[in-house]
Amino acid sequence: MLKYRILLSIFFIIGPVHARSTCNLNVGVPVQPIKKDPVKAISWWDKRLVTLQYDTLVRFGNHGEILPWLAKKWEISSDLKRLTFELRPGVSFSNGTIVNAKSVKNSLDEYFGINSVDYNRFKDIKSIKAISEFIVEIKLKRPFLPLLFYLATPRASIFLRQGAHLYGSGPWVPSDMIIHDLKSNSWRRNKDYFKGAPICDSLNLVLLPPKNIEKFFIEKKVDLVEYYAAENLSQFQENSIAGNVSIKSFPSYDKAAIFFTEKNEKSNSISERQWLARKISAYFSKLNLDYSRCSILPVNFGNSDRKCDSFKKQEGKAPISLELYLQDDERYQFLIKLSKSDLELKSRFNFKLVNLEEMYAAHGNGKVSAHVETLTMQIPDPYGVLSIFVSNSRENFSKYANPKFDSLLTSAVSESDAGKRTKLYSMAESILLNDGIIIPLLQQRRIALISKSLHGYATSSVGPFYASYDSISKDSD
Amino acid sequence: MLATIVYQKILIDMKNFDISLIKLFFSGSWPLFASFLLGLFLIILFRTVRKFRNFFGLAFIALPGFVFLIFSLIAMLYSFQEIGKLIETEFQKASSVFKESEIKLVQSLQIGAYLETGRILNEISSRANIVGASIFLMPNNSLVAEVGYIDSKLKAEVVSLESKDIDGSPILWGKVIFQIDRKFVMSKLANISGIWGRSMMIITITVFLSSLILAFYFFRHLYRPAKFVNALKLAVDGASSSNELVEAVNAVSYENAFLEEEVQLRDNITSMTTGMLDLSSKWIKSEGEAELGRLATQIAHDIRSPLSTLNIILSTLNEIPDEQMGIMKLATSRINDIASELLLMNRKAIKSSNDLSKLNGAIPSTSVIDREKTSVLLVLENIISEKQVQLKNSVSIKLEKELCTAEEAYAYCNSLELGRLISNIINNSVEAISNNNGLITISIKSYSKKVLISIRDNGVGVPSDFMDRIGQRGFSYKKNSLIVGNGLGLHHAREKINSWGGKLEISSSEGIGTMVELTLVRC
Repeated sequence: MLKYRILLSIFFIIGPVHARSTCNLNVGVPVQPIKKDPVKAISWWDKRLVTLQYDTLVRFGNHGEILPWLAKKWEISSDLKRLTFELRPGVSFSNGTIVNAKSVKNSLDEYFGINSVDYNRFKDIKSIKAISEFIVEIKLKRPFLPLLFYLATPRASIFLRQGAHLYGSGPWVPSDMIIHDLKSNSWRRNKDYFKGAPICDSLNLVLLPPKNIEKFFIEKKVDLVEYYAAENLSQFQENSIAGNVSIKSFPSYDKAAIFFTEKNEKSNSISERQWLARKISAYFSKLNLDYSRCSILPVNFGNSDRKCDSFKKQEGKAPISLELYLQDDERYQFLIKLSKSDLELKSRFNFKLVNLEEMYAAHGNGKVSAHVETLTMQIPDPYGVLSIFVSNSRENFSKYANPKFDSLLTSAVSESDAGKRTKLYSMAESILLNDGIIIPLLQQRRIALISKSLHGYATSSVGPFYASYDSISKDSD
Repeated sequence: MLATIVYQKILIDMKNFDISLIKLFFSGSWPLFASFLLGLFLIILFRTVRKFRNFFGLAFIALPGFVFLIFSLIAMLYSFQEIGKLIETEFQKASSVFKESEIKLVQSLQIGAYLETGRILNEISSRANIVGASIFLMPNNSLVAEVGYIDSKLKAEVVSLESKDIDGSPILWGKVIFQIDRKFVMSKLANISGIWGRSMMIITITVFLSSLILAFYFFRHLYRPAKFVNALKLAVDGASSSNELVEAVNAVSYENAFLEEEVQLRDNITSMTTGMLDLSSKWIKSEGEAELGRLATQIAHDIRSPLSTLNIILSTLNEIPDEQMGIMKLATSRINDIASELLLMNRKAIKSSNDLSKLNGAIPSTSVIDREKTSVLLVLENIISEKQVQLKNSVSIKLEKELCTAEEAYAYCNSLELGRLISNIINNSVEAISNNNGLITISIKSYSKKVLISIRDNGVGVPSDFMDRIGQRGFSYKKNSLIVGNGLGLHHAREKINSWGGKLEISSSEGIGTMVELTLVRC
């Protein structure tokens, strides 16, 4: 009798495990992303990987609001110079270590530290202190209102550094924990994730071919492609797309723009940049495109009503040559169309097609006078975009330096009156545009391609990379 | 118990909002208080001033007073109850407005946008009629936004500002402390109590006017019966006979009898009057019959003596001396006289009875007033002669005269009646004498204005215990049980003599004798 009972128990224990099919999620990527320290994640795909492995103290909600995450609660002092976080108890890193105030302090020390991409943004951080096991206090020299938003971004992730290893508390754990293995693309679910383990067992990042992505979907090599330019959708045949893949659009927060570089031998003068800006605005006026706002700020967070006509008044001087570094993608196609619309432009454009690494390298050599890149919103506040042009910013490839602009931004981040702050941001943006250091081109539309066998894909409107795939399920093959 | 709880709650609410009765009064609730005070005044007036303690005061002072007082009290209680409701409603309303804006408030607290928090607070305060609100971060209670002014002495409400955690549990970010605008509450209260006050006054005035009309009718209907009864009294007082009474009562009319009670009163009084007259006639009739009976008895009693005399004489009819013949004639004559009187009285009684049966006349007099100048001495001599024959020397009768002339013995009386009553007295004396030496001494004495007759015997006398009752109707003291009296002789004698203006006095000593003195008015 006892024997039967034991057998029955074994059946009930083992039975469900055998009944459940393994769920392997395959996500297509245009380039093989490189795992980095969170504080050094710059590109969209860098940030994507960080969000899979790590958590932040707070997180953006669907409408840009701040939600409790590793911090269950926080308090900003009435003088706006002190933030106190109360950590959620019971959260642990993937090695089992509890996420406590000390680990948070260490992570934030790195985030605010000199090796961080955002270092120049946090000059006003005075101290970070672990008050107790689960209380962390950040003190500021003066108010810095975007701080809480930045603490929700991937670079502000909380991690545990143990020797060469970085441990996160996120929903996914890299299959191999060698930090500098650039080819690592396999992930397993974190069964102890505080929010609940992901439904799928594993996650694989699959390098997509430049073309014929449709075939990968049909062959079930890929289940999901994110951050895909809507302009590239033409390569799909409509019928097959409808049959295998569903499309999810995202708000057009990304702004493609021409970034000029100052202070090198090839730099264009302000007058030449203003001439180009006038030409481009004239083109937009003729097209009357709804995505052609003459603003670099994200929709709903900046000057959504700024008119391109303002550039027409600028006289400017036609440059002899306009050398542009850019990638062969939809942005390049757009500029081709633009150059064909105006003979003066066509005769002066000199396109240099490079990949991202080559472009960074060219910048490093001081040879780039202008390049085409996309401004991402980063945070639901104009400071996220404008702060790129702050003097000595590590993202400031333009080497732009304008004390008046810096002063305006400094005033804005301390201004607690939202109306006044918006006005200051607007004035700062006007300085950038009038100086022609950046010329906005188009609002890039991004989409996600989702296999119909996938369910539960969700993302934040602030940025698709905040989707951590933990709620995705997949039909068995 | 419930009323006490409600009352205490009202007081607490009022205290929490610093609402006093005086403030309520000056904020528009004065009609309520004025009505209450007016009602109280009218009631006190009615209670204290005697002049108003009548129908007029009841109708025009007490009734409106009670209406004012009761309605104002009801209105006050209602208004006070409304205070509690209103305050609770306003707090709930404000709380719900805060809850509606909770997400925005929490988000502003989360990012430290405290100016925005203040703006939201300001916008809420304008929607929710609050006078002051403060937002504190929790759990440190640091103030981050404030609108208006919060009076620490008055009641404040607390609303928590929360958001949902990942697992749905609440996260407390802050709390709002707010106070309802007292002026707004006061204006609402004034409005409520004002409406009630005005409504109450309208109701009261309406009731007052209605009471006036009702009072007028009541007064009329209450006055008419009083007037009717007064008229009846005058009619009764003025009537000298039953005929006049009936005529007068019938002449009294009850004008405009309207209410059922009035009609009943009129009919009952008429019926009662008729009934009383009927009863009265019956009584009179029975009295007349009784009088006739008494007369018959009297006559039978009176006739008995002369008849016995006649019987004695008749027994010796073979040898009738002249003297005896004269006595016989005298006795016969007395019988005739008695018969004549009986006939006369009977006729009068019948006439009186007939009159009464018609209910048309006053109560008839049963006495025959026939006072005339009479020779008392002569009456005494005749009676003594008669008695001496009758008694045959068994009892001696002696007459003592203290008179100068025979003229001195004249008095006002009826000779027949006088003879009869002296005869009866002598009979009583004879009956009282038990021995063979009986002596009855009759004396007559004349004074200037009176004639005194004294009849004295040496009989058994009357015990002093019975003296008070001697001469009362129906009482007869007979020592000798063989002789039975009916108690009418002395009684009748006294009534007669009294009717002539004289008097009858009796004195007696047991074992010695009795003396009866008759005093008559001398002519």
